[in-house]
Amino acid sequence: MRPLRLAALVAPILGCQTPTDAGASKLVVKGVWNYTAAQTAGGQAGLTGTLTVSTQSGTSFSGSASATQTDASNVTTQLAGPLSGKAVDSVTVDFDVFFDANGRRHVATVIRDSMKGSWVEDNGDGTASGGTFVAVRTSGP
Amino acid sequence: MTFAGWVAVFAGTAAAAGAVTVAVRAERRGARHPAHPASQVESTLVLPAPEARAPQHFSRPVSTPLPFAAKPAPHTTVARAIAPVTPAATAAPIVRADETAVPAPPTPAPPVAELAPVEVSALPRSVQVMTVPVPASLLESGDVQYQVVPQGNAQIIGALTGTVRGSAASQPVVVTAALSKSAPAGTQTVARVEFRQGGAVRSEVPVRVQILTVHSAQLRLAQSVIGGHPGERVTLRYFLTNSGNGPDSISIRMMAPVGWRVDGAPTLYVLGAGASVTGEVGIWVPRESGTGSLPIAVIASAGGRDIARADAGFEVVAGEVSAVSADELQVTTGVASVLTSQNDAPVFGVDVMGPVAAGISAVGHLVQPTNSGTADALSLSRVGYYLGGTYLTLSGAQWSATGGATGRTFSDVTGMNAYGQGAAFTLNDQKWTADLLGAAPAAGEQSSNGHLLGARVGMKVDGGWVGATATDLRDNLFSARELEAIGIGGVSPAFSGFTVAGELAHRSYAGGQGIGWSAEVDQRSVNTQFQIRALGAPGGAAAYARAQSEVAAVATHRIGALELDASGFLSSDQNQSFAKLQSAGWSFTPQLQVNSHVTLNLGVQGNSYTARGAVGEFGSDETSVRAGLNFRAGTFYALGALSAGQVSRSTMLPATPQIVDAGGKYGLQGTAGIATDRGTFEASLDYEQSAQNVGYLPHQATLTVRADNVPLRSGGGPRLHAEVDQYLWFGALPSVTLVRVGVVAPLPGDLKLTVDVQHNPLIAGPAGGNRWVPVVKLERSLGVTFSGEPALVRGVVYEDRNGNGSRDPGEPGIAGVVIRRGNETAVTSKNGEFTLYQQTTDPLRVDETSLPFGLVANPSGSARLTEKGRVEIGVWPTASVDVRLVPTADETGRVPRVDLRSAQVEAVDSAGNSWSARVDSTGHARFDALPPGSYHLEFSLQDVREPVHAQGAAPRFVVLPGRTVAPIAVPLYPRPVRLFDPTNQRGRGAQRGQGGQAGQGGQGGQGGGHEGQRQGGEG
Repeated sequence: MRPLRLAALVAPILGCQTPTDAGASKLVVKGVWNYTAAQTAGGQAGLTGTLTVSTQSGTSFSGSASATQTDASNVTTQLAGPLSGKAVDSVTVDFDVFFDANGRRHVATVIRDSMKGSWVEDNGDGTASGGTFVAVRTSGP
Repeated sequence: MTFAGWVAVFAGTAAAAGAVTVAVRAERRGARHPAHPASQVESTLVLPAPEARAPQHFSRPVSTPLPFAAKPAPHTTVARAIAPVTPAATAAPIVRADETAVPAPPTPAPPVAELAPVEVSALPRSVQVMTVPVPASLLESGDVQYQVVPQGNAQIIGALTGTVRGSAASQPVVVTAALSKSAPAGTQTVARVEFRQGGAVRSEVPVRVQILTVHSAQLRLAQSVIGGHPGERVTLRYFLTNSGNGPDSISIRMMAPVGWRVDGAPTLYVLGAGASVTGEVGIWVPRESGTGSLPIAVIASAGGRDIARADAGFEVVAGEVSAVSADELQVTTGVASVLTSQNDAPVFGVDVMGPVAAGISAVGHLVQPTNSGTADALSLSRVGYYLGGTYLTLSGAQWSATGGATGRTFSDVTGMNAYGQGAAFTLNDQKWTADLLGAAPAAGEQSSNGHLLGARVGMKVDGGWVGATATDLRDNLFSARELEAIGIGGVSPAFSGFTVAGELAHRSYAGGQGIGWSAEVDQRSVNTQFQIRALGAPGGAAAYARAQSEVAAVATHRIGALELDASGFLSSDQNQSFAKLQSAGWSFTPQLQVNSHVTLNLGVQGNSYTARGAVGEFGSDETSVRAGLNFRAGTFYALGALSAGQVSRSTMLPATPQIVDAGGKYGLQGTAGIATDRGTFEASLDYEQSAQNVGYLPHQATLTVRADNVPLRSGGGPRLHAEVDQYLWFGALPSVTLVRVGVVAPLPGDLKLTVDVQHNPLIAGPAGGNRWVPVVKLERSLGVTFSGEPALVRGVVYEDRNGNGSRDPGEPGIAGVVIRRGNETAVTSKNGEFTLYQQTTDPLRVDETSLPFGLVANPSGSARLTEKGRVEIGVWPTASVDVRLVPTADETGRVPRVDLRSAQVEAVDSAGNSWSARVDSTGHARFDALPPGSYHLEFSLQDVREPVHAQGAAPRFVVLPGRTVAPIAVPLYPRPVRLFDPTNQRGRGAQRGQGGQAGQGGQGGQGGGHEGQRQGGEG
């Protein structure tokens, strides 16, 4: 019984000290971002487009994404879909862009109007695609 | 106990009872009856006694027809007493009320108690051994005589009479029934066992066999090779016969290459036993299909399993079906524009396809905007114009060369996905293969420093391949990649369904060097496919490989209507984006075809990844189960699925503890549609719910309605494509509706107009937003013939209905016939015409397997050259020939009463080729398609229950092209049976030696006294 009581006592205190709650509210990602990504794993491709974060409530935000993808074999594909995610801490975001049923997970550092990080997509068959991306905010919240 | 053992037991019993036996000697020709290898079967069998069925004479054995089951039957089952009686109260439950244990007075005769039947289940062509208990009430009164009275069509083997001692422990009566292979499904009384005391029948037990339904079908295709062009619909005819023992529902489905559309299958037939039907399947060859031979199959299934399959090869031959002649270069020029204020500058395009010289064809594509700075690449791609993808490919029979946008994947360890602007060459002849690439890195409008150089040369060896590869690849297009590799590898010839492939290569890349290797084992059989592959590629994706290491396995196994699929995957990489990127996955997905309309899908799967990038490390682990149902009936189809899973996502940033979000994820999918010649109409709903932070928004749904390829008026006018998608996020985001409408309309003057309008609020920028973005393309196709006459041979395949070797009025051309000459293949057009381009001395020939059913190549005739230089190839129509076997009285006036369904008739031509036909119960057999020639008939009567034979010379007939053959009637006479005394061994031995003469009345003296002999009728 003792360990459980101790856990119950400590947990709320630790919970208040998580980075998410501590500083996430300071990070505002709402706005329109110019998006450029490269796929370096699971194939080669380049993407250019726009991330539009239209809604932010606390740490959670959502919006839409639109991009043109050109792969190594010169096939151009139009990609568009919603996005949703959260601010992990005061400088980090973790969000999914749903160009298709399998979301592309983006984890990035945000410094003012610049976002830079990595993305990975679980292709659903055991394989994963991934790469890097940058985004620059062109219009504010 | 084996069948021979049972026969010996019965023989012994019969001998003890003083029954007359007959030695049967049957010789079979293994070559004609592969199910029964050449052997001699010699058995001593007990003859049942028809007269003994009369109660007053039951103990007097006399001769009857020879037993059917003189040969071992494939299924022998011993059924223990199933009669619902116990030793203590054997007959009590069903003894008539007036029967008691006290012996009845002689007059009037005691009533006969009909006891509960003994019943077993059995397959046709099996021997059933059943035991019938002697009623205990009779045994209490003394000895009980019994008689087995055969009924129905089953053959009763062994002793038919005997006595059971009343004092001893009661022995059951053994009844052995041999069922013929044509025994119809259902319950059949095969015998009645009568029990007697004091000369009177006291009780009787019916012996019944419930003959199980045997699902069986014969399926054959009109052609075993089918030819077609990309974009063409080809009709394949098939012939289905229910060869089972009862009415059956047989479904037909088609196995076609992935992406091919099929109409006319699946479909369902309800056929009586022995009934046949002819059906058709339409196969649509995709326009983008490559050329070559592909396997297709038509499969019949019933009772939840596949019962027949007919395979064929589909030969896809170059040349798209169009208004332009196949021997002209098709040049399509067009102009397109995105009709918005910013991007309406025209874009021009040129596509070429077709022959440019003898044996050389070209495929090319060019798109050139008049203002590349404002061209809307996304919108233009909706009408098939891709910027920056200009290329021209020239190809011969064994080579192709491309200039412009091109690329190659050499192998897993020597370089993948190397694409750019340059030139590539491929050779694939009977002995050698080669792949060459020289290009500068480029993709679309982008380019980068670097080069893409590579060569791969291989040699074909006994069905396998060995080769060497050298590459020097470097680009910085999407990310920096670099590789210099030299490798050797090979693929083994297939052995026992296995193929093994492997490659070793030295890899030098930006971060170092190492030995790369790959190995793959592939096993394929009719019901099983298995593949495992492993890869080690130092440098990984940054050095033109899929990953640094990878192991993957895929297995599929089919058990009747159940298909089991399983897979596993493990991959690890490291590149400039990720210090670590690992992924793994597994799945197990059984699929059950419940019937011809319904397929049940189940699935369990798990996927995970861990990625360590510049920001930190993040991962995901997901496990889910899924259950789905597919339904298809005619042109209607529907599918639905439910899924549920658990997702765990982790994030670990530098100097912070790991954050883990976990929760459930649930989904619902449903689609219903109808696909007809008047278009495809479909509606679907996709709903997903997930816990916070483990995926999508908490709730989302997508509703889609679409119509494809809908003719706006009959007779080949404009066709409509339309789709509406609505995305709903239940308050988390405003819902979004996407609309896309397109029309493709042919116009006068070989013009074609394409209009595509899209409204997509999810797309940011000029190509989307809250506006309608129309794109218009106008194009025209022209046929251009290059210098002189590129075609070396033009000709036609026609039906030579009168067999005179030249084409006369009313003799139509034959479509879809495959013509081969050297390495070149052509397929005849709808009017039977074909064209060949290559210079060769090889002879021209018709692939006879591609001829429609009912037509055969003229064996004497080669192609005929007309005065106009055209080649005319006449193929001959075949004839159907009806044969009727007529049971006929012999000199004693006895007419055999036989079911002739087990008989077989063969037509043998002068070269010894034979065609066989099954006989129906009325004795009718039909040869559907006999080529012209002289024939004689032979008969296979070994499975006919009562011995019959044909007398006199073998019937002969001649089939002439285009002529009908009069029906042929063949009398069948009963065969005399000679009896002998089994106690006279000398006589028995003599009988053996003379069996053929005795049994066949002197037909060749081949020692084949039994009707198992195939009879030539030569007399």
